[in-house]
Amino acid sequence: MKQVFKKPRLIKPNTFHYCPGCGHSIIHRLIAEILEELDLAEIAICVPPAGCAVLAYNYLDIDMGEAAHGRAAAVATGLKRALPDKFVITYQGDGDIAAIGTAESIHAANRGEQVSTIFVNNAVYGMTGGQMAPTTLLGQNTTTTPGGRVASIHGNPLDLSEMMAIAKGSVYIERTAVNNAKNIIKTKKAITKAFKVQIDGLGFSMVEILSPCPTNWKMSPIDACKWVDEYMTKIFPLKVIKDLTDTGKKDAD
Amino acid sequence: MADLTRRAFELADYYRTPVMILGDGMMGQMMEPVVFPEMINPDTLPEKDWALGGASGRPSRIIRSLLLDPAVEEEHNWKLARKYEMITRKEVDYESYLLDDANLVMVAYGTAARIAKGAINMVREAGLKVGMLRPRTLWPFPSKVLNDIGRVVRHVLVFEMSTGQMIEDVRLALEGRSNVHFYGRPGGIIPNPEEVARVISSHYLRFDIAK
Repeated sequence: MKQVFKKPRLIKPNTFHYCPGCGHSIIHRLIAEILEELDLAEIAICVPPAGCAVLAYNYLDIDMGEAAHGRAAAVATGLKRALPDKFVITYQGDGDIAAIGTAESIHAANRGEQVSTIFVNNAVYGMTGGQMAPTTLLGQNTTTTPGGRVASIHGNPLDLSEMMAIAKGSVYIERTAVNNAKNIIKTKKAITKAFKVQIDGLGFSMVEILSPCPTNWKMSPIDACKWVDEYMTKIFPLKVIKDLTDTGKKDAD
Repeated sequence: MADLTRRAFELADYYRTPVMILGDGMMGQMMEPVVFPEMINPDTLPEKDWALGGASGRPSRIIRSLLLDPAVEEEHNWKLARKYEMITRKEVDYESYLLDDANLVMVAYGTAARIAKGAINMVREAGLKVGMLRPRTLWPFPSKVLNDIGRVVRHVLVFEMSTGQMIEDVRLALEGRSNVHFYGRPGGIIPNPEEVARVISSHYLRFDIAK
């Protein structure tokens, strides 16, 4: 009988701690599949974020090293420069990369560090209980914006990926989502491409993934997937934000 | 600074622990000849069976500080405590200057220690028996050697280019054995040896130390 589906070899046999309907487990699986397909498992090093996904090391069977909150890009820079033959990825949430870690992330992209970043955007601080993040939508209720986010008080949602695209050393940046099968397939293609940018030594690559957080959005998983389409993608449109892979050159060259 | 910076990296590697170097602001505003210490052979460093580098031919590794199982966390904290205890035992570093016959001991670090040395040389010429303990490590603090000094010396003068960041450590180490005096200037004007020599002399007179 032909086997058409199996657990990726790089997913450890542990039960995910993620909430029902959370996007992290889908994204973990995609990363495991791609690392296996591109034969990167034995040279891969991943820097997980502070947040729910810090426990990614319980699920991904590759070398993993925690960074202080937001500092994944700095740690990844050190790893990649010390071990240029290894494959280095960071896995970060929006609170991690778009708030406390903005500085080191922008500068890593600007330096064209040969690392790949998975940026999981769920528009809230998930692990700490759903506080407003820089990516929270205007009008969105969170525990710290109980009447909804207001631009004049809380600022506007931050377009982190667009900021990273301005940095001259970034080569490929795409925004995708994991709220339906079609988007999951697109996400897999995007991560694969981002990883190939690093393999080819072109520079910094990043995939922003809009990911449902039904628990903190206080919705059913199905409604959370719909909310991504109806609201999140209006502010964070799914698209290739920057792609210099055809030229084989960074802006800076 | 050059020696201690090299040492800091070696210690950080050996103990797998952060090492903090406190350089004072003067360092950025002065020039002196420097002889760099010999490079050490990296092969002599401890093997790193924890380092990340891709799980090739071995199980995958995790570097983390987050331990969610309370029992595992406590055991880890005991392990760290044992490490800190070992560092406290083995890594205390200080310079002693003219301590043998001293009846007043200054405690100073960094640039203040250099100034104090000049002042001590001046007052020694006038016959005042002054020595100095210069802690090179602020943690682990040279508490034992200071406590031993307290057994024989009645007066200790802490001199800092601050309003007193080390004086409490000195008092704790002495456990009340000696009288602790303080002279400090808070940054701005750098005190000179003549000024500190005058401070030492006035302490001698005021507390009748020579007797």
